[in-house]
Amino acid sequence: MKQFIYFIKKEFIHIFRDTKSLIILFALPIIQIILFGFALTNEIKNVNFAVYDNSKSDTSLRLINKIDATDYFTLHKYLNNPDDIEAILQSNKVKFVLVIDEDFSRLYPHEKQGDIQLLLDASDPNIATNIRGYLQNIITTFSEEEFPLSEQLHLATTKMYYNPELKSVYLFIPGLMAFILTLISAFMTSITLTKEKELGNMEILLISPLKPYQIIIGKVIPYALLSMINIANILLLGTFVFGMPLQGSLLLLLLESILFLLNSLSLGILISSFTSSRQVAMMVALAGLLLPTMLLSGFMFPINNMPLPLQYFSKIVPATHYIIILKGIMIKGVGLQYLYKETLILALLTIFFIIISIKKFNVRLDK
Amino acid sequence: MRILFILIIKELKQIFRNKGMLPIIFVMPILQLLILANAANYEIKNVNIAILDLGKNDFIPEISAQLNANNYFTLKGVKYDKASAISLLDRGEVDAIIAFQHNFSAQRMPTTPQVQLIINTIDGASSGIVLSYISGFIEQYFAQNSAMKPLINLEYTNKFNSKLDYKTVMVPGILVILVSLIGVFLTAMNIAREKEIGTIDQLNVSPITKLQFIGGKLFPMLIIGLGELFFGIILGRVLYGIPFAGNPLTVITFAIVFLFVMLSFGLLISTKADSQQQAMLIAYVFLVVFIMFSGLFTSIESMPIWANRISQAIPITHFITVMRSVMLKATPLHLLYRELLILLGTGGLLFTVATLSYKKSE
Repeated sequence: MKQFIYFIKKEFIHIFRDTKSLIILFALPIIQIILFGFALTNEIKNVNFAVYDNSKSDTSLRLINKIDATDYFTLHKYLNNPDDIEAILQSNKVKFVLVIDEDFSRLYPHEKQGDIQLLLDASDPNIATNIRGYLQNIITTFSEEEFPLSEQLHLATTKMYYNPELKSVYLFIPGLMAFILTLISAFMTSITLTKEKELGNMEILLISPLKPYQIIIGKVIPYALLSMINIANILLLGTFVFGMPLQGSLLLLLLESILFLLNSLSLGILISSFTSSRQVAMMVALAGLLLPTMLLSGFMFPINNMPLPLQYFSKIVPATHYIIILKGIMIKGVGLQYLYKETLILALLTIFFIIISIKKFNVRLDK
Repeated sequence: MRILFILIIKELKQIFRNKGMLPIIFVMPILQLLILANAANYEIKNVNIAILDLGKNDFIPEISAQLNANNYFTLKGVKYDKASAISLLDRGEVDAIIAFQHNFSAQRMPTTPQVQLIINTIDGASSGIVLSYISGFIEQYFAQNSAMKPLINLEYTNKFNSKLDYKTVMVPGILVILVSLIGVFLTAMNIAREKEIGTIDQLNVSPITKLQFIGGKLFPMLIIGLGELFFGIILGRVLYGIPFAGNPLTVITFAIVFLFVMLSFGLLISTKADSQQQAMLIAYVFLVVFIMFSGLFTSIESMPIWANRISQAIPITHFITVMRSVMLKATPLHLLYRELLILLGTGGLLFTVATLSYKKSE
C-alpha cells in the first residue's frame, strides 16, 4: 500500500512538472465555456440585407424601416439596379434581398395583395429558414398595424418551454462537461499509459512489486482528480456566470458524473492497451473518442436528424447518455426514476470496457 | 535546392513508413467526412408534435392528416386538455404543441391569439427552426382553407441551395476543417517528435539551413493537404452531389495560401512545445477555438462584436467563406480579394514568427 501511495505521488510529480500541459488542462474548460457561452448563438442577429424597391412609396419605406429597426436585420444598401442583386449575394455582403413590387402601395384599400419577393442566400439552409420565419412575423405584424380592422389570422404567442430565452449555453454546458471529462480522463490516461510503453518504462513498472492493476489505478487517479476539479469549475461557471439552472439534485449529478468519469477512464485504458506509440494513441483518442463525443452525442447536432446507422452508433457513445442525464437533472429537474435507463446503459458500457481492457492488458510486452 | 529536394523525399519516406500514422492521415479524413457530413445536420425532420384543441374545432382531422403527410412532422396525438398535452412535452414524447385556443367557426373571433405554439427549447439551436416551420405550415393551411389570407404576400426564392440541403453547405466547411486538422497536428507533432527523440540535434549540426529545414517540413504537408482537399471535393461530389459552381483555380490559389498559413501555425506551435503531447494539446486548444469561431456551425453575424472580431482574425473563417462562395455561388476571385489579402498577411506573419523562433543552436 505504501508503495502504491509513492507511485501515485510520482505520477502527480510527473503531471505538475509539465506546467504547460497543466495550465492547458485547467484553462481549456474555462476558456471553452466562456467562448461557447458568450459567443455562440444560433439566433438571428444583425443580418445584413439589401432592398430593391420598385414602389418607392411611403408604405414600403415604413416596412423597410420596421425591418431595419429590429435586432435581427440591418439594412445594408438600397439597390438601384436589378443586376446588382446577384453580385451582392455572391460577395457575402448580405444574406437576403427584398424586391418590393411596383403595386405594393396600392395595397389600400385591399383589393389585391401586396407582393414582396424575398431572395434568400440559402447556402446555409437554417439561417435562410430562420430569416424567412422572422421576416414573415414582422410583415404580419406590419400588416396588422397598417390595417387593424381586417380579419387576419393571429398566429402569436409562442411559449418556449424549459429554455425560454433560447440560450445556447443551456445546451453547451452539459455537452461541454461530457467533452472535458472525455478529454482529460480518456485522452490523457491513454497517452500517459502509452508513454510508459513507448519509453520502455512499462517493463520497469511491471517487474516492480506493484501489481498491474495498481499501476493502472495509480496512473488513472491523478487524472480522475483533475477531472473532478474541472467539473466543479464548469458547474460553478455555468451557474454563476451563465445562470444555468440546477433544478434537480446536486448529489445525483455528482454521482452520475463519477460514473461517466469511470467510463472515460476505462476507455482511456482500453485505448492504451492496444496502441504502442503516443502519436497513434493520440490520434485514436481524437478520432475515436473526442470527435464522436463532440459530433455524435447530441452535443453539437441533434441525433434525430442523423441517418439511422449513425443514430445507432450514437447509442454506444457514452456521452450521449451522460448528456441526456445532465439535461434531465439540470434543466428539467427530473430524478433517477426518469433517468435509470441511461444510467444503466452507462454502467453497462463501463463494465464492458473494463472487462475488455483487463483481457487486453498484457503483463508481458512482447507477444 | 537539391538539399531541399532530398529533405522532402526523406520526409515523405518517413510519413509513408509510419504504418501507425498512415491510416490516420489518409483514412481518418474520409471517415470523418462521411460521418460529419451526415451528422452535422440541423435539418429539421420528423419533429414530434401534438395538437391541443380547446375549441372543439371540426378541422382537426384534416389538419392532422396534412401534418402527417408532411415530412417535417410526426403527429403524436390530439389532446383536449392542457395538462395532458403538457405532460407529453415533459416526458419528451413531443417537441412542440399546436394549441387551438378557440372555436374557429364562431361568428366573431376574439382578437387574442387564436393559435398558440408551445415549443421545447432545450435544444435552442433547432427550436427556432421548428418554430419557423410550424408557423409556416399553419399560415399556409389557413391561407388555403379559410378567408383569412395574409394581406402582404411574401414570396421567396432560396438561391444557391434551392433544396435547402444541409450537406451542400456543410461539406465545403468540413473539408476546410479536415485539412486544417491534418496540417496543424502533423506539422506540430512532426517537429516536436524530432525534438523528443533527439534527431533535431542531428539536423541542427548538419549543413542544411533553417529555411531548407522548414521548407523540407512544410512542402510534403502542403502536398498531402492539397491532395486531401481535392480528394474530398471529388468525394463530396460523387457521394452527396455537392456542386462546384465556381472556378477550380480560385480554390487552388486559396488552398495553397491557406495551407501555408496553417502549416506555419503548426510550425510555430512545434517551436514552442517540448514534447509531442504538449504540441498536441496546444494545437488542440487553438483548433477548437478556431473551429468554433469559424462560422461553420453558428453564424458569425449573431456573435457579439468582440467575438466577431476574433472570428475575423481566424484563417479558417476566411477559407470556409471562400470555399462556400466559390463552390455554391460561383463567386469570382475579384469579389474575394479581401479574404486573399487577409490570408496572405496572416500567413506571412506566422511564417516570419515561426522562422524566427526556430533556432538552430539551443
